[in-house]
Amino acid sequence: MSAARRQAGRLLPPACLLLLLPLAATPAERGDDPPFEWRLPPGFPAPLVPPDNPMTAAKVELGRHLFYDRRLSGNGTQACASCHRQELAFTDGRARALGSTGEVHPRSAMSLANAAYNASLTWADPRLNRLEDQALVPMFNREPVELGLAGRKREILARFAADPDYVRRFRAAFPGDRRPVTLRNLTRALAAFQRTLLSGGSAYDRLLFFDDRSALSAAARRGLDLFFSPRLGCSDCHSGFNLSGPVVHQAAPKVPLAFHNTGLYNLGGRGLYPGRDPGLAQVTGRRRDTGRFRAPTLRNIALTAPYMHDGSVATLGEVLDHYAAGGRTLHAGPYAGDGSRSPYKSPRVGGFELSSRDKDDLLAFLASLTDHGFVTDARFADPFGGSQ
Amino acid sequence: MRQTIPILGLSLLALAVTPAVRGEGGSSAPSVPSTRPQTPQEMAAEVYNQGLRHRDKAWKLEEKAQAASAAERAKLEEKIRKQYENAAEEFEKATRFNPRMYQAYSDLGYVLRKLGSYQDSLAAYDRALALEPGYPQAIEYRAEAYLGLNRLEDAKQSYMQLFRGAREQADLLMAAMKRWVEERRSEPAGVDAQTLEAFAGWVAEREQMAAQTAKGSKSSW
Repeated sequence: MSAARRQAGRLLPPACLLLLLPLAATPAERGDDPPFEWRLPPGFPAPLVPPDNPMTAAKVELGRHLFYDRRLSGNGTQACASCHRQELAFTDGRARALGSTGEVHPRSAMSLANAAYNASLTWADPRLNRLEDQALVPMFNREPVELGLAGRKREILARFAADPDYVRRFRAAFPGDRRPVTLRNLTRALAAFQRTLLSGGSAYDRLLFFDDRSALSAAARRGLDLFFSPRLGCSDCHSGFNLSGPVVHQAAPKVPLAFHNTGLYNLGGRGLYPGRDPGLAQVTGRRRDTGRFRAPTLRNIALTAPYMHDGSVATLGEVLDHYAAGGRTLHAGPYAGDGSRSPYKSPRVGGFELSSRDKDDLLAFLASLTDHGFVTDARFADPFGGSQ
Repeated sequence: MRQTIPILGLSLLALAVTPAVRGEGGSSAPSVPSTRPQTPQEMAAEVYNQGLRHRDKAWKLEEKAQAASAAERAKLEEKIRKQYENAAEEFEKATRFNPRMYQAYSDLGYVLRKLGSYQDSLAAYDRALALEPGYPQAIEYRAEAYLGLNRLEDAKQSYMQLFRGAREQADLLMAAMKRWVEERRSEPAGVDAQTLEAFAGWVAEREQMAAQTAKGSKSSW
């Protein structure tokens, strides 16, 4: 009898479980709210939910409204959805995001698809792993200004507190709070909504989880084999059910983080990156972390051009060329340099032979990761119909 | 896997939220006061635990048989069979005391399969799953019964169901399917070569996909 069978099913005795129940109870868990229905994509694990922000339908719906509401910017011109558009898998189609006052962000807006599973958030911050905390970044950032709420917290909250519909929604989402319209509750609602942005209905998923042999074309099947081949090593960084860097979920709440330098820049031959964005090194202060960024999900990647942390690679074909070359060479301009020779480049980005057919097959596979249902799902759509 | 159910705990279990809570094997159960008759659930748990003890003895004897000589193995197989028969008897009793005890049906299905009664095994699994749809252990056990009956499409569907919702059981079934392929290659037992190799190809492909999605990102920080 296998060790796996013998070790399976070690659970607490019933008495111990009952002792624990009162300590764990929140209003939602005590049954004051019905259990949240995740509607998980088949094969996806249950997302991690912080104990101080249990999921409820009312909270998610409040979060959806806030996500699309331009009143969540200082000058009333932008919402979260301005940089995270559903039809683009919650990116914005720009190389670098544009803030509400016209300032250009040094980085590209990341897709929010399956953000619930990201072990760390944003492109290169190992300290940021709660959606509740990440929401504060675009709200209060001063360099650059994004939503522009710095110094205007009371004003913004007053906007929502003066709206009877929002007061009702906040009360429904946070029953028992005497004054529910708070910044803390606002970010909790946004986080709850983002946790529901689950994408797992692509053609690849139909093959993987339903054995639908017609889901992928022959080219895409060949591309799948190439993607997971040791020769190319794509899946070294884009792996698991999310085809991304490390993920967390209920069965794996803590995992080692991973950031990679893919040889995108090599200014002065010293491995430097442009501007004030050296990636992970900005947080750690360690030179060897220069140019290291998180590997995002490849789900819906065909919709989220342009690519890389600064949107400097325009097409997926060029992305493949970049990796095949083992890094990018810029021959002229202020960022000229041979990225393949960067002293900080990950050893995993070693380059490989890529025929024209291989490239087409890989592109076909990457296209099969598009979840058309996700980008049109009414549950995630603008409740204001674009008017807010 | 040890799934003993404390007898007294069952009274509390009636109040608990999850039906799948079980005591860990070996944990002592408080004795039932002699003035109070046992409830049907308590009696079911008692005989179910007995069944598990017989099953576990059979497992130990199977391990011993692997290293035994041919002559010893024959004797041990008789003892193994006896233990599985005893287990079946206890699990059947448990289902009579508690007709909703899906764990007992599932384990009954398992031991019946080990005794070669595949159809009866399937009926027990079907009953377990009617009571607790999606119960991964029963799905996996039933799929192994399908393999025993050469019902390959049913085994495949079971694998896909587990792959979507219970990867640990999916991995166990994958191992069982691979063993089945090897056994049939040396002893076809009515499976034609084309069907066998088509199934073997499918198993290999699915194993590869499972490995691809099980792998985590390699850390470089």
